[in-house]
Amino acid sequence: MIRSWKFWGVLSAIGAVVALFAYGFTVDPKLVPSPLVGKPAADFTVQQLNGEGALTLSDLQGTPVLLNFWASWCVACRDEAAILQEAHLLYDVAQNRLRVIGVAIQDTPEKALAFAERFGKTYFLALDDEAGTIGLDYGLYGVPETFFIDAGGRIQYKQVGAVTRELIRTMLDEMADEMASPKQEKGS
Amino acid sequence: MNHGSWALSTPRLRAVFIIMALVLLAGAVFVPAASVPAADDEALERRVLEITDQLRCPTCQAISVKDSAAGFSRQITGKVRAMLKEGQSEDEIKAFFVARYGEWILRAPKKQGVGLILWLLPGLAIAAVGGWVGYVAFRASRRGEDEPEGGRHGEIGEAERDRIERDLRRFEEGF
Amino acid sequence: MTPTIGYIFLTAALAVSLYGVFVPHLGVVRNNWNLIRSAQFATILNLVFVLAASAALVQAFVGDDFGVVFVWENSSSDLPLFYKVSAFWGGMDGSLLFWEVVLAGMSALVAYLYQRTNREVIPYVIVTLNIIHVFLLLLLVTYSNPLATQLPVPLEGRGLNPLLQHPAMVYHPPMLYLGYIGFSIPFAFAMGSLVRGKLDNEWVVTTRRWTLFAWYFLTMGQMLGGQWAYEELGWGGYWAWDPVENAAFMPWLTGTAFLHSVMLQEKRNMMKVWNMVLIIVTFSLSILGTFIVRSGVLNSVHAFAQSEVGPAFLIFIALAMVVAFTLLFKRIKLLESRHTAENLISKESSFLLNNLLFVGIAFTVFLGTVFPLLAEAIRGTKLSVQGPFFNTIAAPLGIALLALIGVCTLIAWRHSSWRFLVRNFRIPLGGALVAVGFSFAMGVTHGGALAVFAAAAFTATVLTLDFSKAVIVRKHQGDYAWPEAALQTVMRNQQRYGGMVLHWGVVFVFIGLAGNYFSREYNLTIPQGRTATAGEYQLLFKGFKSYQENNAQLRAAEIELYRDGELLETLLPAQSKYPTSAEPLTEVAIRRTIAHDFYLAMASENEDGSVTLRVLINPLVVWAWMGFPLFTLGVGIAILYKPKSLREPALERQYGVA
Repeated sequence: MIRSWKFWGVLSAIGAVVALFAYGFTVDPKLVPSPLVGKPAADFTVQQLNGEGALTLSDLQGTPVLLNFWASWCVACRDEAAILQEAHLLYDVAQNRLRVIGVAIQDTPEKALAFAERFGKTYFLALDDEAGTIGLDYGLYGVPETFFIDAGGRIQYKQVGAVTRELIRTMLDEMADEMASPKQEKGS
Repeated sequence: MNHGSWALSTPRLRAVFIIMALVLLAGAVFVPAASVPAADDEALERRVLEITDQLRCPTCQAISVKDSAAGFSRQITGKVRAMLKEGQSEDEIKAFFVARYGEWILRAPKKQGVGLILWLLPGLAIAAVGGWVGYVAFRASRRGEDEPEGGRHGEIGEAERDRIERDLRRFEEGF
Repeated sequence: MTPTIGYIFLTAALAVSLYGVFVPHLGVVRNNWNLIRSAQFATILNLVFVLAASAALVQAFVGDDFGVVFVWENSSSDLPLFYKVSAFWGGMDGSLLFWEVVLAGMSALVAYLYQRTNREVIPYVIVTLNIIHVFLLLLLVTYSNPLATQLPVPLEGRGLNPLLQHPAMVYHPPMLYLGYIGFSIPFAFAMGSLVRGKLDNEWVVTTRRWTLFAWYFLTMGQMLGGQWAYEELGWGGYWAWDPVENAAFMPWLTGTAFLHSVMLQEKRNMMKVWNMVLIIVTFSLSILGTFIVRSGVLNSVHAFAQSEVGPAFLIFIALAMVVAFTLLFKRIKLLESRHTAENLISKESSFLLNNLLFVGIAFTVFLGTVFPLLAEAIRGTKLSVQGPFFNTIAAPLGIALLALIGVCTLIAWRHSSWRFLVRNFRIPLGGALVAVGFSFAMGVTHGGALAVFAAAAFTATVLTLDFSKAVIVRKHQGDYAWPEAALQTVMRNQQRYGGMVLHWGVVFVFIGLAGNYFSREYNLTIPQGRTATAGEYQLLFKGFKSYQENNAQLRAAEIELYRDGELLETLLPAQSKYPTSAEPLTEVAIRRTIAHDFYLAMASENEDGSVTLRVLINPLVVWAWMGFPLFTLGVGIAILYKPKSLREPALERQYGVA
């Protein structure tokens, strides 16, 4: 066999590069974890889209919150519209375990309202301002993105893309556990 | 073979003239940047462009916020402008976005922690390899001087003279 | 021809490639030249088979046969014929077949050209090339079959990505492929030489033209890609340091280093091991480029969707490198030459420095490209490495290379003295000083731009002086007229003066790149009928216009461009809608002058009837495009040069440099 240390050096370098790329197969380069998870959710006050009153996020403490960002021009938002409305009716109206809030971004009031009507949304809907104050505070990459905020006002999880029924159910359970044992920190 | 011919040859003046003309020609097409002191607003906009150029567009990802027309990029630009107007520094603005988007948003990692590897390794590697190659070459050239092929050091022997002759011929012929 | 028959041809191609892998070795072992001849014939037959398979795919595209999955995914019946054909390489599976076709073409040419020459190494050149064929064809008949069919047959295709519907996208990928794949040929000759232990300079001399050819197309491919990005993506630049762009840039860098350092081997019998290393690395990097495009491992806009071929490519690269380096180290004793630079101030040293810088940049680009992955592996966080990093590190190295062209031209082989250097550097340094002073007077204050102009002026002066000196000598020698003296000078040393023309191209490209340092940018919103100002220009917005172009629906803003009250041009920046794509695309309008490009993109049409525009004043861009004719001419001249036969190194041996 070849004795030269240079040869084994070259071989190790090749091995390292291959290992690095092989590791690359196990991670998704497009998925960026949010640094906000585990931190207190930024507070905001918004007017309801239909003009009926306003809401301040910190007022909701004590109950977990599902904060959904959406837009009328977003295709995936249509896919999750029914699921969110269902979650609102089931966990909020019926069980009083969760508040569902939708904040539209980069949208106009007319288009957002039309979208809400089309999909029969009855939960609290609002529109971010033109500067995107709330959206930027939550570090949005696109829509839809959904934040799960526990009863203590901490962000527990961020979902990029449409939510699923299973996800909402799991998160509700986790956030309930979280309240029982608040020491446990959750990663992304 | 006349190594020093450029300094001596007749076309020297002509050559100087050619370069001057060439350089002037090259220079003449540059458009002068605004020489009047820029207005406050213009200076602010320049700062906005500088900072947004260092932030990665969250939507399109491949390009900077500055170069992107995406909604988030426009909003980030607006926020940067507003923060600058409030008198916040570049570092504070970057920290604001890093807190919300993660370090991902910076188009080049900070020069600390793992980021330091990235920033230092190319220079170190080039310096190390360059130093090594330079050392080997230097030693080789020393050896060449210590063992002259003909005659005493500094004196050109027959073989050496022959070699130089042939080399020069080759140099003239080609490369 | 049906897709099924095309597929059968692919299988047949795989069979003849396997023949080409094993039989030449058998021929060598049994000392039977007929066996080797038969493998050469098989290599040519392989081309026929893959061409037949490609014909089937082209036919499916032209005939809108959406029963072929790949055609359905990448075409639609409304597509102009031009793009139906180029959609062949618009998707992953087709581009892999295209890769195979190009490699088959080159392999067949190798098999045909070297029937009587290079007898010792050619069997293993054929083997090496056919190993690559087997790999590609295995992928093509399994994971990545572009001729796979589906039922029921859809009525309409999903359409070609509108971004790819641009003339540059028709030429850019094939050119890149010619470049990438072109480096397989010197690689194959290097491997053949290592296997046979024939370690003189034959492989370098034989593949000199192949290397130039590959380098030329890789260069052109990247410049066309830049032009496409500039005109089609609408963000105002031509190079974004995207992983896929870097993937094409890395083999270009090491390939360019190789192009230079083989000259040291050819002229001075140096760098024999290093040239082997460079060609192995260049070949591996060109495959790595394909891997990055296809694996989805790195975040890139250009990347195809993640697919199963990624791991296959990775394994292939790893095996190729391990085998190649093992062969190299087995032979390393035979390759090590005792020749080194005799003097630190010599042309040899400047070539070493050239290689150090090229490889240094390649390493920087590689590190930056994989660093997000590395950081995630080490620390688990996502980082970005984009323009600000690459520009900071690579720009100074690039500027050093630009100045090095001048230094290297001046300096002599073997020996130079400081005195000589100082004397000869006086005028070029003066040129650099004049350039800096002038640029400064014209208002260019950016240090980077000034450094580029200084280096460019230095090198341009050296090149001008060097050439005029040679022409003057020639004129006096032969009593020629000036043009004839110039032509004689070039033709008598095609390698040197072909190189000179190429280097002029480099100077121009650098001047164009330097414009990036002082470009200006304005975001304007103009109501209809009103005027806005961008620097020295005034823009009058006349109104919106809608029209049809090919299969796209365009909505344009009519902008009259004025300077000092004089109407220069009416520009039509637009947004286009393609029937198969939801998102509108930006169609920029560019007014090009030698000083700068006035680059106008329509950002949005607003509800109050106004238009929002993005205006970029990009200095000196057209200078960079001067690289196209200069590189073409330079390579055209340099490729004419025939290296003196291999017996020449006897000259070297006679000197017996210790």
